[in-house]
Amino acid sequence: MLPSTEDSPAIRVSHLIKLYGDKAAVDGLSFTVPRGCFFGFLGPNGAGKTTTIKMLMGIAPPTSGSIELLGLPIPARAENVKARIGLVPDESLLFDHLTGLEFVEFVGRMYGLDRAVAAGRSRELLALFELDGSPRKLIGEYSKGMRKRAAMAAALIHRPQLFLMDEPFEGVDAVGARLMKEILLDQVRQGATIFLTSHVLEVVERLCTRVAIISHGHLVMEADMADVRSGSETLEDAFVRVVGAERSGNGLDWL
Amino acid sequence: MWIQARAILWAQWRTLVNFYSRGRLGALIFAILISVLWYGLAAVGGFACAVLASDPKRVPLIHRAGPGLLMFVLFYWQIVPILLTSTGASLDLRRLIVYPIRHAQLFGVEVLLRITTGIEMLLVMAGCAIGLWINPRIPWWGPFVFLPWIGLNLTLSAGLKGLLGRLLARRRIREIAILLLVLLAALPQLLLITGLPVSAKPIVSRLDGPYLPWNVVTRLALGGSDLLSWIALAAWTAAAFTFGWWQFHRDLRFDAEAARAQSHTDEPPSDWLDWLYRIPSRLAPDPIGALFEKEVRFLSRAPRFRIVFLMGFTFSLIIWLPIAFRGGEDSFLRSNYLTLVTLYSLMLLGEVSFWNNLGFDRSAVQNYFVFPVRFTHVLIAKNLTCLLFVLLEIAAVATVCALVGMPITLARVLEALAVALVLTLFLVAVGNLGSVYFPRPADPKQSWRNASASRFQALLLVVHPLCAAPVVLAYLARYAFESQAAFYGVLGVSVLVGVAFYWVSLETAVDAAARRTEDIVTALSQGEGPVAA
Repeated sequence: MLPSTEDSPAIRVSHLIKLYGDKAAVDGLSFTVPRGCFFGFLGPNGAGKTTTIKMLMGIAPPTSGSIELLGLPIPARAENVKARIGLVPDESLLFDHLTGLEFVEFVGRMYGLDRAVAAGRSRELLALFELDGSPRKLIGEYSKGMRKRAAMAAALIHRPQLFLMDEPFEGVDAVGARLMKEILLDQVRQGATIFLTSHVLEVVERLCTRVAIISHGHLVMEADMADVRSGSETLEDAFVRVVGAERSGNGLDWL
Repeated sequence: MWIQARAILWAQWRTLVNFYSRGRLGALIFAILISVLWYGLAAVGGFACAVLASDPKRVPLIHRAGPGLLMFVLFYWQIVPILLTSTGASLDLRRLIVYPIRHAQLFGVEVLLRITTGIEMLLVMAGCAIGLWINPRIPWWGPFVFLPWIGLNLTLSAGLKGLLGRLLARRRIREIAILLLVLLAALPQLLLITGLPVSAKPIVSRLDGPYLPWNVVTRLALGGSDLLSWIALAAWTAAAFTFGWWQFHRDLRFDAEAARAQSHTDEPPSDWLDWLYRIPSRLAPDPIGALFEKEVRFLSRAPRFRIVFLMGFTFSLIIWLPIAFRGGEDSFLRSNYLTLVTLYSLMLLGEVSFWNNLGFDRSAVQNYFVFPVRFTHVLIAKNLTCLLFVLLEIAAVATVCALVGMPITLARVLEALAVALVLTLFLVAVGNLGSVYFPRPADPKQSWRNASASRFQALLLVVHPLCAAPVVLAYLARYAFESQAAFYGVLGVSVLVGVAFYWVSLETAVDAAARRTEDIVTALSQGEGPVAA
């Protein structure tokens, strides 16, 4: 009999290590994301955020350590888990020669939706994300913000319980970002869990209930947003402090 | 549950429709015509097989020829796509692995896609099957033996593709593996002139073993029904399936980034290497010097360029040996072997240097339009880089020829150099136009696949002879006047014409680039579908 997974956290990562050659991109990472949490995963460039999210998505196998998503171990139960996850990956996973409608329908069918259901939901999602204005436009012809909105629409099509999002607001205009935030908050209200990486700390501060900061592959901070806010610091201050990136001036006399 | 498999095929179909419906009609018609011609030839082969196989009197002949034909089918299906640098269509697992799809489904689609690497052989096999079906001396079930045979080929092909793909994802190993493969392509040519080594004869004789797959399939297809043959067929098919499935599973777990990082070090490049890279900057003032240096650094680090450059002085030498040395000591090709090989190397280099000089480093192309540099300087820098590598290639070819004891004299080297430089002038001039009018995104990490657009490749059928005309004229002049002076005189005039042609084409290309900037940037930003063509 399978153990009940409903009480387990949405994400549990233990001693995760990812080596590229001799270099550790992720080095002994452990954290837990409770269900229904809006979790911000932050870090400077090259800290290991994308590598971590790739491991969560099952694109990159970890060198060692364990991952559990929705109570099920990855990669052993990957197929069961993937069906309950919505992904907003980096742009390389989009298909440039499909239209937005075709792409979202394709993703729906990859999640096992009936063709008619997938087609119907695709039309509705494209209208919701205001991508239905040019139905013949290929994703390759989309702007960066439109591509992110298309990825977001695709992530929602099968009503997932857990969202893994890599920089979902990157390149999205203010109106689009507002819409995306409202949809995500609504999903959290309905019980979904969101795990996102972002460099826009103001957005993370406003949306997330819990944050983790990673630097050089190590977890350097994990806290509830309420605790971060209770001090005199902003999230940006805390971020700069824990990743040790405070500098005075640029240090270049010609600049 | 094949919903996802159908969705993948549907998405790929939509990708193709979107791609072709937005392209030029001429290109589509040309692609169709070439396909009809190529597969038409295979269909004629299939028809010939059908006629032969349907004749009851020819059953003994089929018994003798069948294993050879099936062995040819197997090697064609497995090896030729690799040698023709066409991997066919295959799943882009990186994009699909994030979805909840059963691996068996993905494998099923991957195996079906392997058909695209051997449609010609499928037509031949269909001809054989129809012929045997009609043949009254063959039992009705005979042709059905070809089904497991095709399955064996497909699953074996899927396995080999996976194995090769992983091998080629590793730095350094990739170049060696590709080089070995292309040298393998030249092996039959070499054997033609050297003959089969005595040590290889026992191996070749073993290819006729009674339970090897081609012999077993022939025997069973012609109505043989001994149990051992059936067991052997089942064993071979199961082995191929197991190999394909095993390799596919390894592909799913494969982390290309980690593999690439295995041989990567953070150590800075050595001083002497950096000094070499900086030579171009000393030869030309900036911005041409800086662009020239960047091109040299980029190309020498691009696996695809490196492998073609290596092929220039290895594969080219072997592939022309039988033709050049078939004639007597005084034959034209033999006495001009060095020039011949040099020109062939130049043709190979074209694919990775001058025919599509913007598409090859697509990520940098936007910079050329936003930097405060003249586009003329960009193209000149790219052309100078090409010239540098042509000179290095000639030096490498001459060195290898000398090392293996080919008749090399200084006069021959100078002649090869002169001919190659004249031809380069014309080819690079046309290449600048082609790069601007037919830009195509190319991956410098991919060790194979064509880099230039198919329309432009068709044009090359005309361009190559036209560009070679001055060289041909020079040789004709030497033949007619029996004089080296006439030869070099014609080449000298060709240089003058070439320089004028080069400047006109350069100006034309620069003007066209200014008009077509958006088209060029858009064309070079295209990605692919769930199935990589």
